[in-house]
Amino acid sequence: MANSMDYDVIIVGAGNGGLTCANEIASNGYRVLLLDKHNLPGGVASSFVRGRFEYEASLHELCDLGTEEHPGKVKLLLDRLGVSEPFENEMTLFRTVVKGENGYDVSVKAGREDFVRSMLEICPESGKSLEKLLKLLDSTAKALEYNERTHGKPSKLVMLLKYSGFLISASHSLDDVLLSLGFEDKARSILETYWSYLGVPANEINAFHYLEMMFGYINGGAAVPRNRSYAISLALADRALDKGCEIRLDSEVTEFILDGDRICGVKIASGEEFRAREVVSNIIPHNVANMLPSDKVRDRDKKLLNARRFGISFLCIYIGLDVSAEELGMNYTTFISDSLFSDRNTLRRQFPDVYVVNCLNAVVDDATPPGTSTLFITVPVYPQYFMEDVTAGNYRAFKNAAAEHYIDDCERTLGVSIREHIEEISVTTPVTFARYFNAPEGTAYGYELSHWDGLMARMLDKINKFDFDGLTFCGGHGETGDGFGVTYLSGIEAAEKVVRSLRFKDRLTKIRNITRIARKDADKSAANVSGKPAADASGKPAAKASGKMKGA
Amino acid sequence: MGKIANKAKKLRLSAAKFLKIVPERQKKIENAGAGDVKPLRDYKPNALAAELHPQVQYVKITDVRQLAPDVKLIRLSPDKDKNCFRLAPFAPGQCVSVEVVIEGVSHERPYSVSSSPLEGYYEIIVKREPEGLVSGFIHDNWSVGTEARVSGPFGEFSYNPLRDARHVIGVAGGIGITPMRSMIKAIRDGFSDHTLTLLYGVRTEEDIVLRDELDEAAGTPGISVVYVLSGDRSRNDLPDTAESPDRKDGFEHGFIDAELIRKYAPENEPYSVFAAGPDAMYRFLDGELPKLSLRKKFIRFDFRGEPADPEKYSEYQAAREEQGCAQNPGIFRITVRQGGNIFAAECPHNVTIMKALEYAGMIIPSRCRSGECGYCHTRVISGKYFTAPDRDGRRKADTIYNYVHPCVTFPLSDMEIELGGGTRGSGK
Repeated sequence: MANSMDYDVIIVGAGNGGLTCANEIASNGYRVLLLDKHNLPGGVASSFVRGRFEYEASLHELCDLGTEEHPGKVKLLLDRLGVSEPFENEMTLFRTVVKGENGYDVSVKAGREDFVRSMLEICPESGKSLEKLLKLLDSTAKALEYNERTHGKPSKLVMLLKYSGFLISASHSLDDVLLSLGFEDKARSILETYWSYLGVPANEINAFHYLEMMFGYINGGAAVPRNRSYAISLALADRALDKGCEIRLDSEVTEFILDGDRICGVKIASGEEFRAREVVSNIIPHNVANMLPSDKVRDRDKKLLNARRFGISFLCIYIGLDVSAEELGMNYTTFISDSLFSDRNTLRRQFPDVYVVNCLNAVVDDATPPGTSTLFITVPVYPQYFMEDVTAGNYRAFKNAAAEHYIDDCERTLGVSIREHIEEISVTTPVTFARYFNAPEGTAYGYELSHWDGLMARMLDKINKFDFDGLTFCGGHGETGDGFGVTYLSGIEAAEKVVRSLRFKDRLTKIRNITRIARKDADKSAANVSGKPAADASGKPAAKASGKMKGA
Repeated sequence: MGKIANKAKKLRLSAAKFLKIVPERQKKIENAGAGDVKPLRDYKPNALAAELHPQVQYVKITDVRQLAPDVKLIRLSPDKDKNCFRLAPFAPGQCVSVEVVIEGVSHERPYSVSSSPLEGYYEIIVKREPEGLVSGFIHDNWSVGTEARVSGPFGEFSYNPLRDARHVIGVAGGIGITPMRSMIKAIRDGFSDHTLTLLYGVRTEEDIVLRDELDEAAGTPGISVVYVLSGDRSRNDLPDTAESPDRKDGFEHGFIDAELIRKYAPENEPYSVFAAGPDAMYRFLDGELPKLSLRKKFIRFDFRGEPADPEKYSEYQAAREEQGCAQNPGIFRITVRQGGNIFAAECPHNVTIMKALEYAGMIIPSRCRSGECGYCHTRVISGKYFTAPDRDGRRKADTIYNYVHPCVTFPLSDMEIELGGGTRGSGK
């Protein structure tokens, strides 16, 4: 059905990682096919329309966009790929409300100085600790630079002597590190507010991982795309097409094609098959393993997958209101919780008492028609607790009950009137993630970044990653975890690896061809005219190389 | 730095722990089982997703009732022979897309489910449309025992207690009775908790379908039914005055307008208007409902269907001029790329891209055929077009990056578009 080698690279899944990966590989001149099961590119980076409202589907705010003067990694990446979608910058990081006697209702500002000032206003006694925290972060940044300078092979002694702060934050939980810096409860609680963005409570999340993200926000504020994250997805798709990438939507990959123990192509639902020199998967290793013959998956990989826990999922409530953001009195991001600290048990219930409310119009004023606004309520949930009593028959009623619970709570806590202004409402659950993304257990965040499988552990443990010849992964289930900025960057990392491999093989082929010609010449000059092709030792790689020639 | 280390030491935070990260992870993995990973269906959210949103459902027709010369009620039950044991749950007001294979070509059309959500089957009401390829085929060929395929339920035309007023005024025009019947049954069966006054508009008394059923339902607390006769428009004698000889007791007469809705609306209580019917009715209501000063949240329309004629839109001429297509409306060429294939079809200026492709034997994915659901979402490679503004359900970025819903889009020039590669009907 298909040629021996249709593409240099096939990318399965046009999520954030798949899209940036396609751009990066195509701009290196390779032939790329990007496939997605859905009829839109972007994966969760999407939006949807109900009545006169267009909801952002998943993005709260982009980290690492930086400022005009100091653009962050993600901004530089989008610029480099030619994405010029406009952003709004929100310099209030968040309002966070903890209910109850020891609770608080405070707002924290972005920008290093404003951040410290706003924290000191709330917790005057935290000055020393904040100073230490900032020092720790600077030292961490230096440690990362050193790590990069040494190409990921730093001297243990140097690390221990010069960067022990980094080593401590890299090997302890956020809560422990903040405690060690001397933060009192209230300050610690406020500093831990973002935990739900990573899906792991503060007593389990790797401190380095969390603090790196938090400082992205502190330095640059929260960036929100003017036209929803879906616009970035379409822009990335457009740029990929410009670079000669082929995109096939509505094309679910149902099977990986093997050549011995190597992945050499894919089959899509229509029955068509495509072959490539390299395959990149934006889909989670669990689903890849399920699509491969069991005996081809190494035991070590099965153990890895069985050991891992899936990340949290979300209940999302999207509300279109016939009242403006000002009348409603909402700012962009409000975290609401019942207690100062959350741990695993906080989520081990049907309706966890911790959630985020976003009012897009507070930062993108014309996101909906005048006199209207949208609210986006996000609740981190463990599906097994959240969906315990749910059946297909009561699913719809359950969604409404869940929405009602959080709308009531939000009204009571913030003293705003939501219910009477609801013009449109949609509720998504782990089932939605399962439906659109085939996400196992409806995970929104790939694998849980819990301590043993946290960011640092994944980065350091080079041996234990799902490994299959010919296959490279990108996306939120990868080493660097979930989040928009991180997944955009994961695509680039995968692309770099794939391009290196392609280049290496191309060079190898070139050398082989040269030696073959040289040998032929030698054979000829030896007047040996047997007509036998010159040493067929190259075998498989040579066959692949000829495929490449066709493709190129 | 030293200070931090000291403090950390007090809390027993040690840099040496760094060295334990990898061994700890490796141990955890080593201790895990080496069995195959669980298949997706073993996870509850995934199993529920499959049950709630099947790509395709295999059904068998178990009942056909002729409601009027050109109207049939068809019951679709799960086809156990095809391993379909239970149909996906739906909310009253939702649709399913019904597949009909005519001369080897598969066509889909949305039909509202008309039965109660508690009955275990879907009933649809099919009216033979004057030039309806699919409705005609169903009328001529479907009978008890016929096997068919339908999509999962979809659509937003359903009562939601968080959003809608507890009292609903249902406005049904002709075949728009279909979703209303489901809503009535749902109230009667205790599935829905709201009240409903149905204003059912037909031309003549003879056009009322399921009258026995509706009269009986009207006896249920919370449900009332009003028949509204518009008169035989072919004779152009709307009996909308009290003196009209055609006026009948127990009926309202004329079109369902603001005045009539107000007459049956509760006085000191909010109400939601749910309207289902032909395009002409929606356009009439577009003019009438503002007179009631209802908040937008209290007005719900069912899928508006395919737009008939772009020239009916005041925006059309302006769009043509703006895009430099003022001259020469006529027949345009639509080039379709799908994977490595290229097709072409002719499309007159007043025919939607979807229709034109279907006439040419190219079936593109469709569900609502009203611009809302996005199932036919398609990238435009080149060319100019006009999307019916009253059913343009696209996202903002779609308009920036040139994606359209072909079911409600008319060409203003030759066009080239790109279709996805048919995962439809994969049965997964």
